Amino acid sequence: MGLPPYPNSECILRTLGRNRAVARRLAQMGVLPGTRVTVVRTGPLGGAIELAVDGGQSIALRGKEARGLECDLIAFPLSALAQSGDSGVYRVKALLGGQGLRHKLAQRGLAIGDRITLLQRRPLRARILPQGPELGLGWGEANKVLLEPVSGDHAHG
Amino acid sequence: MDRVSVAISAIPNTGKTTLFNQLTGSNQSVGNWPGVTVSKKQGYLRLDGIEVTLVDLPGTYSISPASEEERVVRRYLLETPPKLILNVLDARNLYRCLGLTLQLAMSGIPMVVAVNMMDEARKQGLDIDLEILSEHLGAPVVGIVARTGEGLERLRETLLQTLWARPRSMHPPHVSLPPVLEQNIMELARKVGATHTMPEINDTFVAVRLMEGGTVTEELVRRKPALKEVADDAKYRRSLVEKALGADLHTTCAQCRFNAAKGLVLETTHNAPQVSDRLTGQIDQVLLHRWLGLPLFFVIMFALFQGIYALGTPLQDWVSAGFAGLQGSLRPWALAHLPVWLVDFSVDGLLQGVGVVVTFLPIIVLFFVFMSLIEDSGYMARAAFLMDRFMHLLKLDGKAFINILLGYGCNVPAVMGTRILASRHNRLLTMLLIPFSLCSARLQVFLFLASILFAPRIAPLVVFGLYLGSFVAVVLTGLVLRLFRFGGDPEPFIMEMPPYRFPLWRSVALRAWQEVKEFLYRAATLIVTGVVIVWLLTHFPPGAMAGGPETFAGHIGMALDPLFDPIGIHWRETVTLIFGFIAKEVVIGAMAVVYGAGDLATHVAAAITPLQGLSFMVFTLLYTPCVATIGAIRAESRSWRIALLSIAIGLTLAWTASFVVYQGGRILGYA
Repeated sequence: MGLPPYPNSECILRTLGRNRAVARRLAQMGVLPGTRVTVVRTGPLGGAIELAVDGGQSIALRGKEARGLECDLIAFPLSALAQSGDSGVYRVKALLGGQGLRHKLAQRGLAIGDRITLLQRRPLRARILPQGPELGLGWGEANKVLLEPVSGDHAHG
Repeated sequence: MDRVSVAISAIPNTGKTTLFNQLTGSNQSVGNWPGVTVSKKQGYLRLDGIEVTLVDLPGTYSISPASEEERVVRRYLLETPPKLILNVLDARNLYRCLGLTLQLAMSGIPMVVAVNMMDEARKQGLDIDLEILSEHLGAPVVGIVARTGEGLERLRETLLQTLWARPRSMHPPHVSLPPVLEQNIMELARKVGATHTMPEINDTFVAVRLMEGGTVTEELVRRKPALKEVADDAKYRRSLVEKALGADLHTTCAQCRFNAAKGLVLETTHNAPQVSDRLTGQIDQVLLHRWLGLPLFFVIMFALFQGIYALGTPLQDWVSAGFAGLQGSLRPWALAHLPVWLVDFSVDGLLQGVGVVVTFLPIIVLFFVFMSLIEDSGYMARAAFLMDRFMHLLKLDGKAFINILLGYGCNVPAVMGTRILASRHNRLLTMLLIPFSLCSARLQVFLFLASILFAPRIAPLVVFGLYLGSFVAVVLTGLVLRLFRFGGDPEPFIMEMPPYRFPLWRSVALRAWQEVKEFLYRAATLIVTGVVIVWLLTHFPPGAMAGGPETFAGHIGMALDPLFDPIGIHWRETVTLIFGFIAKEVVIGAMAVVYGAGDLATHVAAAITPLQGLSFMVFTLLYTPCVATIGAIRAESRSWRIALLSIAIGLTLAWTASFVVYQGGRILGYA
């Protein structure tokens, strides 16, 4: 799949895409297949996209050109799930933001390592599996709940 | 002893320019690399008796041929190899810098590596083993902090030692390549060696450049026919290798270089905590905010605009008033000693030209002071990020927006500022669009005419309409020009977002000073010539009344009448337009000359209908950049064709727009 346009998503580049000029430039900046990148933000009106490359540099490129890169998604925010309407089961990989958010979510029963599935897109509701509580989340919070695919068991439901 | 040339090279955002300034002080000269829009800076320094010319190579990520900058570096290394390369690295992120370092190290040209920003790396807890790095790169490595000057003494010593020693034993680092590539390169290198054409440069380095191909190597082969056969062979082998590997040569080579770089980083850097710049992240949270980012950008642009022009315009007025005073007081003195025609020529023609040049100086200084602040602080990259969506419509990148916007104050520095843009395509396209931004000189003309010809209630609307027209002209021209491929294809928009940092006043001042020097050096003669030509046209043949029907300008005006009649402009106004070529605000003064004595406002109101006036204003808005702007375009583009094209586009668009306005107005029943 192409680079996801959701901030906080992390993925590993598989190829540099078909656009040769883009591929060359990225290669010469040291952004190569196998590099891990994190989407930092998207520009206003979906123009440019800022990536943090795992070496620590920050790179901006055009959304269209970013979508041409092929990558394996390793983590994405819960809000992205809500945007795509995917109702698979995912594991909470990290809670971004400060102690405050972590504490707040813990009180509502969500912790790193939990498996979670989307119930409703807007307002966003999710269930913690297997029999955990139902959880309503604000958009800002959903941006900071980082999920990863659950390898092995695919308990769709 | 002859001057020794040392080239300083680095990828962008490593502090190369800061180091360059530290090493050379203000002892620099700026020019252009031959035939391209990339500026060439040289500085001079003495290293214990050796006179060194430090050549500032443009910041590039590699020396493979893609952008104009990369071709400049390639050509320089292949054609005029320096005695030494000084490569600058960013200590906070060695990995991204080492790709270029490894390419340069293969050249066989002695190299000294300066690892910059050691202080910030230390602050981040990075511990870099420079000795191991030096061992692996086969070149001396010095840790420095260019901003504070730390380590520069060591660096100077190391440069000196390396220049004296010329160590033949410098072993280039080994980058492991796929066997099929390695073997082909080695075979090619042997063939290159057999031609004995490039003694200063490593054969392997030449072999890889030949394989990459491109215009620079083609030129090289043309000059050194002995390489022809090897070059053809290289092309053939490249296709073989690419087929065998199933990948582009550039990407494969980059992959191998950066694999080696990764290894080097692992060996030399300890305690590498992955902390990015926290402060930068926090500032960006606000400045690049989804909703706040753009409004903040416009606030900053407003401040920038005000900073340059609210300060600069009074200074400009002051300088030009000073010159007018000088002209006035010189005239009687000169008349007493010299014939009248010579006084007219030197005082009204030549001195006027010099005056035009000088009035630009304050604004150029301010412009580049503020631009440097925006650029050196790191905000420029953010501006490009924010504006990319809009500017991409014109196939330009976001930075070009700032140039065009600042053109609304004055076109001249805006054109000079295109130098900061990323590719030749961006630079040329932007400098062709800038002349349509309604600069303050044109505004003076419009305010004057609108207040004479229109009711007080309508006049502001007319001026506003002209601003709108200017904006439309920029966008339309951009949309049309994007159909043509100026300066090659647009390069992909891939830009590093550097961490924020405080600009160094020294660098800012130095930059402003250089720009002024360069403006005087490159554009001044052209501007003075232009002004003198216009003066001759409007004052000759001898005896004719200035701007009158008997002058050349008068004849031209009348000859052009059939062309200007359909747009409602008569010969007198045509003459003022010729005057306006010097500087747009001169149009008003020229009207006073052409209409003769009496109250100008009454004359103009009697001679021109509002519709004709509107047509005249539209024409003035678009018709041609003033001579100073043309001088700047010519200097920046290094091409008369681009400068002439700019005039041609302007005249065509101006005539068409005025025609539509005038004839449209007549159809609607206005006169």
